[in-house]
Amino acid sequence: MNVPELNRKLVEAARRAPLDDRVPYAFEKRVMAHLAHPAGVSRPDVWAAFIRQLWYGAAACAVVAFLLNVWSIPQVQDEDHAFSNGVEDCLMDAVDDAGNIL
Amino acid sequence: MDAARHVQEFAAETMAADATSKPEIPETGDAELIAAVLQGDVASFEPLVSKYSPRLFGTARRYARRESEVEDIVQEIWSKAFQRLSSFRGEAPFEHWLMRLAVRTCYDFLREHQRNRENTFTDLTEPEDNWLERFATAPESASESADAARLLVGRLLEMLSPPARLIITLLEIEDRTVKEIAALTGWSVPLVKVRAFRARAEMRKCLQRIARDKYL
Repeated sequence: MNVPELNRKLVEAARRAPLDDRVPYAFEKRVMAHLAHPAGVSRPDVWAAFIRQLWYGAAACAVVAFLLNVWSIPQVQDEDHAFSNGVEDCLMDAVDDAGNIL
Repeated sequence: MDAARHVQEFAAETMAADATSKPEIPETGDAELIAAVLQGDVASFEPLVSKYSPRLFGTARRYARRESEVEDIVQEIWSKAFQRLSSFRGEAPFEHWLMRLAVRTCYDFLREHQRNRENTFTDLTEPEDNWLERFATAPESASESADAARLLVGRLLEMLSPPARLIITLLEIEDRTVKEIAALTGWSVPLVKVRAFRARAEMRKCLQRIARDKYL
């Protein structure tokens, strides 16, 4: 099939097609009614705005939580080490004390 | 059928009555109407809607097939025009400003509905099929003015991506210049040229697919 010729013929067919500019009956009335009472302007969607703000808040909280978590990991590791040393010292002190009494 | 005829007769009578009962109103220029709207007289917008709606419907029907979609597009254009009327400076005719808005709204519509694009050429009607057969056997015998050819080009345009469809419609079908398209779409002249090149390639690819699907 001759594709360039088919292309030319189809474009020519589209050019020859008369422009369909019919307007539905009383369309201008519909437009004017829409402009007078636009949907969403007279009654703003309060719930949608609230939920949007809630999502923004949740995202900010998640970021803060993540940063705090990252920041606290080294400290937790240090505290774990200090706690284990403390337990060990406490136990060994008790053993030492018992040895002294005996 | 009778009910439909009654409705048509009633509509015709109502329109005739409207035409006879309306007093002769002197034609006001677009600039005066726009100034009145900007001063708060919303009713002055209605003559603009009546005057330019046929042009907008003609444009919108190039990009949407269903009549409900066409009406929604034109209503959207008028909504935007009303909201942005203060940005109209009056340096160019109102119609040019409105057509820019129309083309951009139609492009937005194409982008929103690009998932519904047709991907196949398999469900052709009998006249379309016959036209293609006739073209394949004797290209000169397939007339460009046939309805089947118009339907085929409609299908072909629906297969294209939104930018390609817009460019092909403006450049090839409406025969506009690259500069005019740049002004209508808000794209730069080099971008229009690049998109035109890609659009033609996309169209050729679609046509080659038709030829392959039908005759291989």
